[in-house]
Amino acid sequence: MAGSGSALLSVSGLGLSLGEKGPPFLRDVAFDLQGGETLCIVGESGCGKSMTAVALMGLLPPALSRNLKGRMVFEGEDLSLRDNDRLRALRGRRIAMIFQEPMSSLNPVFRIGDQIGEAWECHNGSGGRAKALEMLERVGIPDPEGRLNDYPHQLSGGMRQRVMIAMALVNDPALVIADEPTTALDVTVQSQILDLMRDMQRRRGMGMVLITHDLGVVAQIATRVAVMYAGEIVEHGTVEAIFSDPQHPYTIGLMASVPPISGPRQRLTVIPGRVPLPSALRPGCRFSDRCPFATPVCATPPPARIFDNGHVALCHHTPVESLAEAAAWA
Amino acid sequence: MFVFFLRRLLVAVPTLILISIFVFLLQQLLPGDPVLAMAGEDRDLATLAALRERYGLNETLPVQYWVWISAVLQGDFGTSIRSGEPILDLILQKLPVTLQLAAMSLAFAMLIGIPMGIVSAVNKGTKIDLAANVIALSGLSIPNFWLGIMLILLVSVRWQLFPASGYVPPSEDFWQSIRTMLMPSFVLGTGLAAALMRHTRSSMLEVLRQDYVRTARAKGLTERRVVLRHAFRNALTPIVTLTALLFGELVAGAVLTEQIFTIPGFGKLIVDAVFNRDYAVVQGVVLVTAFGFIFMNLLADMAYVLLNPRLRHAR
Ligand SMILES: Nc1ncnc2c1ncn2[C@@H]1O[C@H](COP(=O)(O)OP(=O)(O)O)[C@@H](O)[C@H]1O
Ligand code: SF4
Ligand SMILES: [Mg+2]
Repeated sequence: MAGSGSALLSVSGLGLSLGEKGPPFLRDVAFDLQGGETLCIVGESGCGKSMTAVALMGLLPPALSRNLKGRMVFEGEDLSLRDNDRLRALRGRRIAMIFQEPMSSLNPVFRIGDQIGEAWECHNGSGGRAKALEMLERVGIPDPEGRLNDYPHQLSGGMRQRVMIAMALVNDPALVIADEPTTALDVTVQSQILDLMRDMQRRRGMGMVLITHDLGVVAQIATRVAVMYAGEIVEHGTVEAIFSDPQHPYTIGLMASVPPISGPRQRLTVIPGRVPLPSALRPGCRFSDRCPFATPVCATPPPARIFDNGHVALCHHTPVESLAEAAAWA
Repeated sequence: MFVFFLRRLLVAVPTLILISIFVFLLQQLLPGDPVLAMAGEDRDLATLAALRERYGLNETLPVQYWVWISAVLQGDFGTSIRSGEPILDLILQKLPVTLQLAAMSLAFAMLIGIPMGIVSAVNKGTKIDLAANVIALSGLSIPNFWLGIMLILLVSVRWQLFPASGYVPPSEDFWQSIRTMLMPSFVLGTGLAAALMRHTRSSMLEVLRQDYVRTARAKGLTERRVVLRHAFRNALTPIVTLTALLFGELVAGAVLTEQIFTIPGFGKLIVDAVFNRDYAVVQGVVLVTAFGFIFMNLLADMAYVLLNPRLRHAR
């Protein structure tokens, strides 16, 4: 699946480590994204989701980007060549990013109209203010004309995230990377922002990489899902396949930890243990110390098991045979 | 915001009163009797008593303070015991000299210190950063008097590029005035430049880690614009505050620098006054300096508010 020529974004063999032989943050991350599609990357905190996003934007600190391996092809152009001027010309214009913290992601000393306008003007020359006004209207900010001159601290979290979205989309990018765009917001505001993003994406036919650890969001918005664990994509498939037929024990564990929306409220199941730090990784399956299905063979690197429709899981023991085994999570 | 400044101004008043009391009491601690100094050879008791009477030295301290401060508030700092000149005239005469020295030193320090701080923060951990830090450390540790004397020996005496001493008012010959003041302000500015460099560096390092800097990069801005506009504008607040607070150090440094280069400024005025036990002059000079320091603090506070939209819009 990875590497097909027509994809908007094609990532293959992405690897990242601290130093030449340092512990790997990312290993062999690969996925394709078509225009108009939404790929959700899910996983617990510390799995390397943000790292992947930042690598795609070409914004890794130099100490890390030096050790970046693999290929990232965007609109037929190889981003991994690390031509800084070329990357800069793509950033904000063809590839935009929305960050997790709307509170700290806007510059506190500049007016929001200027901050949005600047994103336009640095790629188009002039007319930033008119464009900023137009974008504020589009992202549904009331009294956009009045808000142009506001400073970030004068807006609520939800409004700030709308401003971030306006800023990211001002140049009509082909690809948007959103790193947990709703995590820091109130629950009611979360769905508004998600609706807005989905709406903007549909109208413009953008591709979107949405990072989240909220499976409810995934169910709502994803075309395809990549489940990340300890720097690896351990399962990857269409949203239907991942939700109705999860194969990797980690995915099954994540599913089990989602509280049911209706019915009697049950105890929230979480996977015991935590994501290992890159420095504490052992050879073989990275999930083995938390996996209830682990056997001695799991100490060797797990194979990629391939199912229908590009559904892939990285595990020795897939397909999971019996539900009784899966119930071991409960 | 106006209310904030007003309140800040009101807080300055008790501070000024305290300082004036302190300055007044300071004279009691200075060794020597001014009357003896004044009387010179003529030391019969009657003369001494007359002098004491004339300068109100027989009154209680609170009365002496009250007499002194009321006069000061009317712009009358008394007359110099030595020269008989009004102290206000002396101060107004010397102050511009020192202000020019201070302004040029500060300009020099900012011109060197701030860009160096930015460059070393952006290149943190590289050889450039190391070099900048070594230079800053040398700037901090080379004593002013040594640097001044070396400069005079090399630049003035051997190469004869700049004058070694003296002062020319800018109104008389602007360029000659700048030329004469160049070496002293370099000497006085090096320490400040180093302090500013280190402060700028840490302030920039702090700001460069912020999320909004990453946002600025994600927009596709050039690194230059990210650093100079988005980061530096935020790093500026603590830098401006420090610069205003360096004023005290500047005055202290000016005293020494004016001695080295024999500049007839404030520093020389105070040193001469102390050695001559010219108490009234010392009081006047210290009071004006303290006032200047409080004024600079006030400016720093205002700048802090003006640079920070969050505070600017608060009531
Ligand atoms: N600046 C950093 N320096 C070193 N390690 C980091 C840094 N940021 C994150 N990490 C590590 O990299 C891994 C991936 O982090 P991240 O991509 O932020 O995870 P996620 O976004 O999935 O929560 C984690 O193990 C984390 O501890
Ligand atoms: S390889 Fe083994 S340890 Fe890893 S997920 Fe599969 S069963 Fe669990
Ligand atoms: Mg993250």
